[in-house]
Amino acid sequence: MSCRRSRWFLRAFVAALSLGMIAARASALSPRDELLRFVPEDVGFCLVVQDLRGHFAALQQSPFVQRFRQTPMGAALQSDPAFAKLGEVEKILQQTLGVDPTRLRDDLLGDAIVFAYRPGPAGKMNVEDQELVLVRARDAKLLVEVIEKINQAQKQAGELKNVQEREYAGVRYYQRVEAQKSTFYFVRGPVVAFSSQEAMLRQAIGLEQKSAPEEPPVARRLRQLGVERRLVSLWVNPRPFDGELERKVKAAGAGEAAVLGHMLTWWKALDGIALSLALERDGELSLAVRARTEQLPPAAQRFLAEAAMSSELWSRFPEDALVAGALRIDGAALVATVAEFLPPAARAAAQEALKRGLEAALSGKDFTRDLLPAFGPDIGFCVTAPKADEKAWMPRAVLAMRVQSDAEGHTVEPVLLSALNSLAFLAVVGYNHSHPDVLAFRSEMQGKIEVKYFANDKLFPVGVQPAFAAKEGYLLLASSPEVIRRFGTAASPTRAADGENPLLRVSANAWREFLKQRREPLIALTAERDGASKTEASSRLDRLFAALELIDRIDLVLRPSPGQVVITLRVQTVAPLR
Amino acid sequence: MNCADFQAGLQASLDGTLSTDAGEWDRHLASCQGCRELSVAAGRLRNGLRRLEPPTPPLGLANQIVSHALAARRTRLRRRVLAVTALAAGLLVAATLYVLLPQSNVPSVPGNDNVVQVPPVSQPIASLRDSVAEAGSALAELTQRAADDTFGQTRSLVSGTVKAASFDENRVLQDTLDPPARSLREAGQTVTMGLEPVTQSARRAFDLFLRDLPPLSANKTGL
Repeated sequence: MSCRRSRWFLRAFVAALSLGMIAARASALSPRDELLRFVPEDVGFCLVVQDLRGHFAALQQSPFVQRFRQTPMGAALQSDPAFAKLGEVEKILQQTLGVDPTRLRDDLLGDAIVFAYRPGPAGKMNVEDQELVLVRARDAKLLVEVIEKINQAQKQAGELKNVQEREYAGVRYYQRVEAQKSTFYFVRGPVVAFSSQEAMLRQAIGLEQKSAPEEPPVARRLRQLGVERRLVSLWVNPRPFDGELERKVKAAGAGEAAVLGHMLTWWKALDGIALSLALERDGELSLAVRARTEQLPPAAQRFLAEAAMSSELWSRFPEDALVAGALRIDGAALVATVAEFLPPAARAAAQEALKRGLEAALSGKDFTRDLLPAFGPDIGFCVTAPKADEKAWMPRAVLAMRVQSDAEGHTVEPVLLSALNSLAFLAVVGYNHSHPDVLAFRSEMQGKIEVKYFANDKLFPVGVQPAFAAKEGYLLLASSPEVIRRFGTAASPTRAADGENPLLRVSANAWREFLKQRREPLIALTAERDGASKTEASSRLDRLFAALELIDRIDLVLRPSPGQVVITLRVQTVAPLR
Repeated sequence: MNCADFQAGLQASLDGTLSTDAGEWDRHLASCQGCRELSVAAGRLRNGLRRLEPPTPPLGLANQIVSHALAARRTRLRRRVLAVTALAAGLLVAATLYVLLPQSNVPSVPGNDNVVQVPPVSQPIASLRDSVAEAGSALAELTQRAADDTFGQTRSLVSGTVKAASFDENRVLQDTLDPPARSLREAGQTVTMGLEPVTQSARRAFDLFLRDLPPLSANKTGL
């Protein structure tokens, strides 16, 4: 008897010790990592939402939300009939689950949520696929209560027949028998796991039991991609799709197989992709791509290396441009990279068409052989608002492309200008032949630079005289000769954060000023083009203005690092988001 | 002959309907530098056009037609995904938005914001589904209106401004660039088709995710 009691105590002690060790190990991990211990590394997609509670609390008290409530747009949304419907959810949640949305958000969903998906094997991708949903609640008791109430309510509605208890590896889990299918779930302390496939749930149980105290594998992948702290992140693991993509290449015809085979080379060089959302001072949507670039074709490697650098044009574009974009492109590498995606016959046909079509205009030069290597690496555009006291109201625009010497050291600028001249002459002839008014093609000297431009007061709005010239190593196409005159180092050039290369920038500040100053001509333009009344056109402009009142600027930036690139769309609001 | 007559004659010669006196034509060319340049440019154009091959059906035309048909189907699917997204967004955001823009009329216990008076479970779960779906639609409406006010108006304004400042009289460049552009489009369609296992899995994952959310599962088929 005493021996049996000793054994019982020993078992109880070992069980308590095991539970204690599990609890200690789990508590050392973040809520997100607690969930990721259940996720197999071979899933294709893994969506992680973390710290909803903290983010929403910060957002709720943020200066931005305070300001948003007072804007016309905030007021309009609150008074919209559709908004009132949202309140119904709150009542139903309370009636059905006995919990209000705030508790649901903070105590149930506020720590972390994970959704993982594993495609089936090649040939059965969407047949044998599996999914797993995990929630880590702050209030474990509430979690159990809510699950029971959902089960109870679904039984009342006749959607759930019964809930059967099952066991795997010493862990209890439940089968929910519904009318047409079964689903499975288990609860481990504050964690609930849910799947429609029993095998997936069992694997999750096994993984949790075997997991080491250190960082879970999927958490490591997210950290490598730099998205481990984001509010929402979606990890795409390329490897589970390899088999199906290879199958597709094998099944393709000759022409398609060449294209798909090349695509597969790129796909296999990918290590991981992550799309993520962060709400910090600004809102950021980022795409991170991790790849083994050494496995890519040489042209692609050259193209990516050039694109990873910041363009010199940003020192020429002003900070307050309405919109500006610039990047570095190795023209020859880009064309070679793109051409590799074409079947050999189509590649040859495209090159021949370019050669024949442009050779005449380019004084016998071969476009791909002689000119393309001279294009770039800097290419960009900039649109700025005219000054308030200027008569012309149209924004000024310039497209700039750096032009270098060709392989033999000869500058290609004269060839390009000659080609543009030819095209411009033909445009003038074509226009004047079919219109009663005259399109003039003129030139003016700006120092030693000859600027060619079109002039027609009827065809173009005031201040617009499309022009082109070669200046300071750039081929410029601009909305007027004046824009070309001003092209140079900007007084207050565009700034960028350390390690970030700007790609595109939109200044909402500048747009607001422009809309305010040029309100009348813009209303007239909108009314004329859309056949709307001036009142309607004015109202549309006001709505656009109201939306712009919330944003300062939008940036698209690129952050390169060895083997990885992150492209981020950053929305800077007029007041901090947190 | 003046410059305007010459340009009209040049256009007619490009159109193949020239009936101008050659002597008069040459005399004007001899005296006018601008028209001489124009004539040389037109000569280059003629040479270039002569060397262009007659149009032939593009490689993989059949595939292209199939792709267009599939694209229409994808558009329908995309619309469905958008609708489903709105519902999913409704679930996540409805509660939040409602908190951010407070107008709650839910009775709460004084002194404790987290505790609410909970009535007994009296309504079937179908009400929860209907209401969440309705809230999702409402949120989608709100989002669409906000988006219309920003992106729609911006696009309209920018396209109008660009159109006002441009003219389209030169098809030579377009005709030259069309064959390579067409090849690229076809290659792009093939790559899109090649990546279909990934995009289909993404759609499937999204559907499964929604199916696993009890309040949405019953309404999914109705989208």
